[in-house]
Amino acid sequence: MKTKMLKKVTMLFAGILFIAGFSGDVMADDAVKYASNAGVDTLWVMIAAFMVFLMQAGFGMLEAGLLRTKNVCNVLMNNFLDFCMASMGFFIFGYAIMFGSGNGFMGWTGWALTGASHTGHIPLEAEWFFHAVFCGAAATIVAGGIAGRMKFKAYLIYSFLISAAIYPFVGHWIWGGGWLANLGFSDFAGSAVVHSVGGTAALVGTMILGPRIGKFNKDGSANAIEGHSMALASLGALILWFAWFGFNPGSTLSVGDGSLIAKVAINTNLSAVSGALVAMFYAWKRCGKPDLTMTMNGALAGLVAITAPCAYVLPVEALAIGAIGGILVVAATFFLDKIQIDDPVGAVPVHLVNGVWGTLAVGIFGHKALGLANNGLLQGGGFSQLGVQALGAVAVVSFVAVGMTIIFQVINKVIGLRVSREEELKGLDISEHGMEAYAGFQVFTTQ
Amino acid sequence: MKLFKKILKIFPVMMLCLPAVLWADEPTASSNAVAINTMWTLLAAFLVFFMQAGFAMVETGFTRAKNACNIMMKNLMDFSVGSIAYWAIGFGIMFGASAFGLFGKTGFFLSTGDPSTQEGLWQFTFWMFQTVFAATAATIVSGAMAERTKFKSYLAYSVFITALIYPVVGHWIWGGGWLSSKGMIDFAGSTVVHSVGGWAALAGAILLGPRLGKYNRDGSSNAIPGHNIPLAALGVFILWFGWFGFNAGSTTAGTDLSIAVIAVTTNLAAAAGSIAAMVTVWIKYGKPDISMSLNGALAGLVAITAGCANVSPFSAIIIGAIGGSLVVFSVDFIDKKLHIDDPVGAVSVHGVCGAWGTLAVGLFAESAYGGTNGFLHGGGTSLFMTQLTGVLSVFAWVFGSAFLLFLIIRKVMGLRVTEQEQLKGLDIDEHGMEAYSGFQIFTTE
Repeated sequence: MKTKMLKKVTMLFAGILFIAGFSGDVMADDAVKYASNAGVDTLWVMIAAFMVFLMQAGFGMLEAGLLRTKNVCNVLMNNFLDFCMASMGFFIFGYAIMFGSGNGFMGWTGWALTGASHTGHIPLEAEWFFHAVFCGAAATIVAGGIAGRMKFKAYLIYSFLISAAIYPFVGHWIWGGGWLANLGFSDFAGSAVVHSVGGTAALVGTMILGPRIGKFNKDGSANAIEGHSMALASLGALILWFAWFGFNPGSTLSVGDGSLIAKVAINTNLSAVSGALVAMFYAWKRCGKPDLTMTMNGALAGLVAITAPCAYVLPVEALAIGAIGGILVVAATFFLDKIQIDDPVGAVPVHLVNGVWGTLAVGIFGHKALGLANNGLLQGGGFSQLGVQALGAVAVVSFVAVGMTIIFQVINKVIGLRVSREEELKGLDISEHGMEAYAGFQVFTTQ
Repeated sequence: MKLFKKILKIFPVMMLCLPAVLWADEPTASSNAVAINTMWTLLAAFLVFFMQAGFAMVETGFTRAKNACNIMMKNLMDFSVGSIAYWAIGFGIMFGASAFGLFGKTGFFLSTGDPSTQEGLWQFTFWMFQTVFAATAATIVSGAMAERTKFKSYLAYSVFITALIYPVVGHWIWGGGWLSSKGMIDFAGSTVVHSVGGWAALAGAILLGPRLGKYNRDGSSNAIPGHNIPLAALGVFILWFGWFGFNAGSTTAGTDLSIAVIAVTTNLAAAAGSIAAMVTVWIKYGKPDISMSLNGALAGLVAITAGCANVSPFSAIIIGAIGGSLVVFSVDFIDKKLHIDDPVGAVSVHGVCGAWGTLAVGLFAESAYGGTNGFLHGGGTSLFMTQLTGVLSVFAWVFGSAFLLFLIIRKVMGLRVTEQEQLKGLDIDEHGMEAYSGFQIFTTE
């Protein structure tokens, strides 16, 4: 009752303000102050950014849980330090390239936030912080793909470079007013900007590194290398799901009347749910058992897929997008095993495959009425939006693939990318960091 | 929230009136501001509450499996006991009417809270925010005293720190006491919260003595590795997350846009602290050690807590980086030179880096961000001297009173478990359970 009445009052009030908005400058100023003042928007963006920060913990737990005990410290260290390196890289170089003024390809003002320009009405620091945690998420996706065999030093260098020089370019094209944005390309919260970038980098990394010892047999068949703690992995997946409510709804960057936030939250949740369900049933049918890992990755696939279209589609379309994501993630996992690419935690199926799928889904399901340049394919808009989305996906994936190949190859030449055979068998915890994850427990280390 | 409550209260009356009367209670810019500030302060308090989980995971992960239940229990109970003690006594001492600038003397049992006025309602919000801070200071100590303290004695300690030791410092600096009138800047509590916890931890660790097997006859020390690094890493991530509420929330005003600056300085200091600690330990011992890198992030966070609203992002990186390498040297010094056994490095992270952060404000503060200029920005030495006075007097009060407290507890009920119990683990003897039943664990070390 109370809330209903309040709603009524608010709606009435908003209506009056809306009318007042057209009736004079003074009134319009008041309306702006009331309806979308910078305080509320800053608050919202900061809270969302804090939640996205927690994704680092989510990725850390998920990856640690899906790996063997002997590499747990190493993957946690990777997760932890890539956020630190990403903060530094994005502070010194990244933000200037992504949001500085420049041309359609890159920006070049505001290095280290000095003299940086920003467009929104929230403070520059708030904008930087929100984008810095996004950058950290893109960087940390790779930790899963290269886990169990990459030198720590090489990983540190990589994580600085991706956030200083790879991620910001893509970000500029799509979110910084670059050439893709000008073509009408839409990626609401980063299926392309964040997930395709991280996923492509993970694919390049794992291909250059080669599979872990013992992953593939001589006859080409793959061995499952099982994770050591499903409890940690589920905790990680659930933390990620929670944090995604900051990732997608937070990308509104303003509260407005609240309707967009609420809609994005619903779409995000429904897509994750259908991704998890469909992945579970599909894996059940294919392997005979409902597999927990696949189900968790299905939820993440749904989340990645809905990230780009979350503001442009209806809830029922979000269900469809998540469901297709759930099928794609399982199929892609089997496919990678078949072509002998070793991706220990499924970073490529989740982030690359579904990042691209989400980007395309904007062009298939999107509505012009909800803020797109054109209607999507299924809304009768023909191929124009889908074409732009496809062009963007190809451009992003090939740019990152080329850039990361160069970076990984140079690191490989200079300090080496992969640890020695002995070190890998012993585990990276001991060889790289001189410690064990579970001191006092009896653990079987060599496999 | 307050507004909603108000509306709820007068709602029956409103129902009887004409709809037009509704307009009397329509939201205005200032009533919105009250709602926003309440929401922000409470959300930040919830984030800080979550730090209890962070501390529990860090401390459990960095100690042995046989003591995991005991540490969880201590973390849970110091928050519970602390909440009640702070409600009954601590809050009044911290924010009551000042007696000689030394302690407050009114407002016990949250008597300032009044659900019928706006100011009285705000007291509830403010109390919630301050309580989670007090509990943070209390829980820091459990790490330094881990694996050998009697559970009963720890409970007794946690009453006194939240009822007495912490609130007195809080009054000096935040409650209108003598240090705040001198102009000391401790925005979110490098000294008030972290140094207090750190110095109390130091007193406790000294009086307890080291764990069995920590030091050899010749004075050299043995590393006792933690049993679960993923839990420790999770704990640090949770703490970092909670810290955004800790620092940015300390504006207690969501309408204050400097929360953006604070989040940036907090984040950069943590990142720099972690990188600096990693590099320092890498050079010193040849491997990038994860527990030090994790502690480095915490060190950066503790160090920026005092100055987060008064320094530039660049200064935040420097403050955090110095904190990060300081913690490596401090852990080494306390362990190898002083022979004080601090299992999780609580004294170094919270005490030493808390002091460093407080002093750093005297060097790096910029009036452009609010407050006065520090030494490096042409403000002279006056701010620095004030900060130094604060650091020293807080050390004297906390270390002195905590030492006395632990001494009395030791006399009355004993502080340390028996040798037998320590070898078997505190989980079995103090709580009668195991943390990992079904796992094969090597318990005696």
